Amino acid sequence: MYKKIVLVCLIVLLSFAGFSQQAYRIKADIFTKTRLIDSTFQISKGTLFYDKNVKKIIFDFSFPQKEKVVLFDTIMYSFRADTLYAKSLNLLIPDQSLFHFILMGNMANFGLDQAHFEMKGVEKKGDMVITTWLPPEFLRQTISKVLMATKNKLLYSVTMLDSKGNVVSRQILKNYKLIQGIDIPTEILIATYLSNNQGNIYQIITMNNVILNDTKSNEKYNYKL
Amino acid sequence: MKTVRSISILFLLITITLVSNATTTEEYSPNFLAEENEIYSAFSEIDPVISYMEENSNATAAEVNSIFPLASINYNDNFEFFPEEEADRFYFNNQSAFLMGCLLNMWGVLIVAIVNNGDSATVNKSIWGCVASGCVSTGAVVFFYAVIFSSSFYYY
Repeated sequence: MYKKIVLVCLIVLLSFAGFSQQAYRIKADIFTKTRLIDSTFQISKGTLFYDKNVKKIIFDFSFPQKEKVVLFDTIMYSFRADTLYAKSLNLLIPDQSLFHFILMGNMANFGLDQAHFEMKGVEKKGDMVITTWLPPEFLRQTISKVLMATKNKLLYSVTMLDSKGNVVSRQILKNYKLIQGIDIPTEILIATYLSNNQGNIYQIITMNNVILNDTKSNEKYNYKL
Repeated sequence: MKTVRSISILFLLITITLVSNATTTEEYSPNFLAEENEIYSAFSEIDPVISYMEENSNATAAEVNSIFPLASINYNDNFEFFPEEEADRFYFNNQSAFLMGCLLNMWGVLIVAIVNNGDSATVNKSIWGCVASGCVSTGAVVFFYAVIFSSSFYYY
């Protein structure tokens, strides 16, 4: 259950953002640490590969164990020692992910406009500009609004509130680095608040050595399934 | 494309269904610094582990576990998002892997390695089972001969 929720948090974040100019490939070293509601931790480390034309998100994990996770269409494949180990449903559609938006340069409004969210208002608070988005009618029973904060025209945080106005999820995108003309957040903080005071889940994702348009290792961007 | 959108929205719904409740209500007003600190402070307990991993980029789970045995870290995350879908596929768990090592020795280790696609955690368990079984067998033989010798020595 915890794993599901943590992964969903990751998916929520990755499903949303995207940034400016165009590129076709992204590669980055990824380090994630997660604190679950039972106060245990999970740590994973590896390399991410994504090519917007191939549309496969590939995580090549080296810690806690060597494993490749390939997200393609609606299926998630896990490989150990190049052998298929598990296959399950994938909710992070590659071309709806952060990585795809980065490469496509269509970050605008976090993709909320494409999901039929409606911009309600804009407010300035200190050096932040906070935009309120209302969900489409059929979502309003579960989510009341989404608050997006930008700082220096860069997305800083996304906060989701449920129908009672309680915060259910918060993502903070930090430490932007300008790489080949594209601003990419290299640190992502996520907090998820569970229902009925069950506890909170926290996650920090760090991306290092981000490389765009890597022309080497074609096979790593199109792992054979 | 419509299907993709539907899936995205469905996913959003699932997320919101899984989570609900927490901080403030109606008059929620973001306090960005506090929100950041809340998340960072949640990890203060494993700061030494993270520092070690940053300094030793090739550190393995076993190594980290041996250096920080008290850290509450789960090393077995294999991203089983919907484990029920895997229910019809058989895997050895730690106990059964250990038992296989005990009963079949190296053959047990080999079988566990094949069935679990070389999963190091369960293979290690089966190796320990093999070692435990070997120790018990050797101990029994030593004990048996010790009894025989001591009793025969008694007669003479």
